[in-house]
Amino acid sequence: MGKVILEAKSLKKDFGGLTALVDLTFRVEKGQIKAIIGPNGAGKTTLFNIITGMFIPTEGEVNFKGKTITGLKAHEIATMGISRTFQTLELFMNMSVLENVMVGRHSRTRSGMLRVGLRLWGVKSEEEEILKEATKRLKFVGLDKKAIENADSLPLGEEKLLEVARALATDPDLLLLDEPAAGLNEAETEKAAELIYRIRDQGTTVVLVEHDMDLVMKVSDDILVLNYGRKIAEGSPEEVRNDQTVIDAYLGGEIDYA
Amino acid sequence: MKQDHKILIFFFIALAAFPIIAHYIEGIQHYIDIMIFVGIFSLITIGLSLLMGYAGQVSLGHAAFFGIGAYTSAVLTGKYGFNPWIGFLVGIILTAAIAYVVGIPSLKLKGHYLAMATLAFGIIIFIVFNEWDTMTAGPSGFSDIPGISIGGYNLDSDIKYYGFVWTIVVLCLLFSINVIHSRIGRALRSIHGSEDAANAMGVNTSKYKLQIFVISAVYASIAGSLYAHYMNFISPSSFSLFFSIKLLIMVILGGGMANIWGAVLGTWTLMLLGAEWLHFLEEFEFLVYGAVLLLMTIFLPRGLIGLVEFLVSGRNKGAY
Repeated sequence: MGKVILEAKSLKKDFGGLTALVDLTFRVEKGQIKAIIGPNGAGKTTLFNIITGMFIPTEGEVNFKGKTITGLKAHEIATMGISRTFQTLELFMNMSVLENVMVGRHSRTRSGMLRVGLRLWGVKSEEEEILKEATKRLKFVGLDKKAIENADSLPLGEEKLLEVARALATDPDLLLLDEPAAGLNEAETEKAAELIYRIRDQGTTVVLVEHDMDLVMKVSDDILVLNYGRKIAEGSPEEVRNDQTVIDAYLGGEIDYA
Repeated sequence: MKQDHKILIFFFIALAAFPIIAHYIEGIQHYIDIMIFVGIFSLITIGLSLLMGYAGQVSLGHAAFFGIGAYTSAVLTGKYGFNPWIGFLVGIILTAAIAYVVGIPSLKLKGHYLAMATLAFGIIIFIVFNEWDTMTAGPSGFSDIPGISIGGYNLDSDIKYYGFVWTIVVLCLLFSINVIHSRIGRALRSIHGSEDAANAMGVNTSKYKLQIFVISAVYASIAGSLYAHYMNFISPSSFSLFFSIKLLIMVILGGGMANIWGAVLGTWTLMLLGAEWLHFLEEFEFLVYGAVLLLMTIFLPRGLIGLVEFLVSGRNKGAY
């Protein structure tokens, strides 16, 4: 077993009377691609929101690189090395493609308000650094030709790539992808799979929430299955697809894994 | 050098040339006086452009910060005989402190709720100006505020004060433009774009919202001190909710919601409208402002500066 990068211990999340997660414990190993699957409303996005500090769990805690991150603010967790994309795209539509990615460099740069306002020493070189790094991430996802366009002018597939590029600009150790293939056609999904491999190969651990079973079965080293906020299975793609509880939870007994 | 810096240089030259040109043209000599007010109010709208346009946080309370700066200068110099520079400084510190304390709870609110909170703050301060008459002289106004001198050189004419005011405006513009074209400026715009995503990218959104709120309040305070020393008389009516709304109209009219130059252009346009072309309407002035605002939001959502950009480049450009 490899080194554990993320560990969730007995997570529980209540929204008023609604329980979104129940006693959820799991680990993500460094360098893995791990998928979290489950029917709609299973608590997958809630889990992402807890890991990234948008929600505070009702019970339990999350450890990242050996430190407890539960209770930290979202921007602090981002700075520690967890980044994400959003299921409902959350691009900065008021900014250019390049500027979106440049915001991703925020946590890796330091100049404060007075410093940038007065253009003190170091600001210029830092700006050049941000520009260089952001351009590199745009190239990585293949959007460098669209750098100066407005983010709201991109088609859906490219918007998703831009979210990935922006997240990668934070130099994450762990990247959470929320439905990277939703709304993509077959060729685009193929490219997404290839991109996920490349992200893993550069040393970033990837956790994805996804409904496209072909993609999940293909790229994942390990799969966690949620249903009504509970873990119902966990293991390799082979183990999960033969698990009777999983088959029952999906479409009343049928799992499509062509 | 960014495009905005080049515009700033041209802008500075135009400002310096204006009094010379005005000197030779009979009809616009009194425009120096109007331009002083344009400069003073531009300081406030530049801050509002950063706060509302870039960071996306609405304020209906900036007339109060303007008033706090003005009354601090008035009281310290007119009542206690302090040097005007002390008035400026204390006004800035006091306003920053108040903005900080008001900002922490208010900026947790979003959209209309933030607007309501700042509006309530503005009304409270307005009441203080009226009621604390041992200090502010109440509704009848505070008179005999002295002028300013810089190292013995008296700013005793309009033309001198014009130079003084616009130098400060240009410096504040320079600071603001530098901020806009930096990681902080992008962080502010990211808050406007999506606060959740901004946080997820490591932007401390509450910190930057508070910082820009305080800076915009400080701009308004400096404007207040400048106003007090130019008018030599202030009364609470200059710092009412009406003025906060008028500031908002200036920002939106000019296109300050998307571009800092829009704030200056909007202030200039509305001041000329108010002081010159619509003077005959007196109290009904606001009707015209309302109509202008309505038409602008429908037909020209990027404001006058959006129109200028369109005419110059044939397309709408991003800030980068």
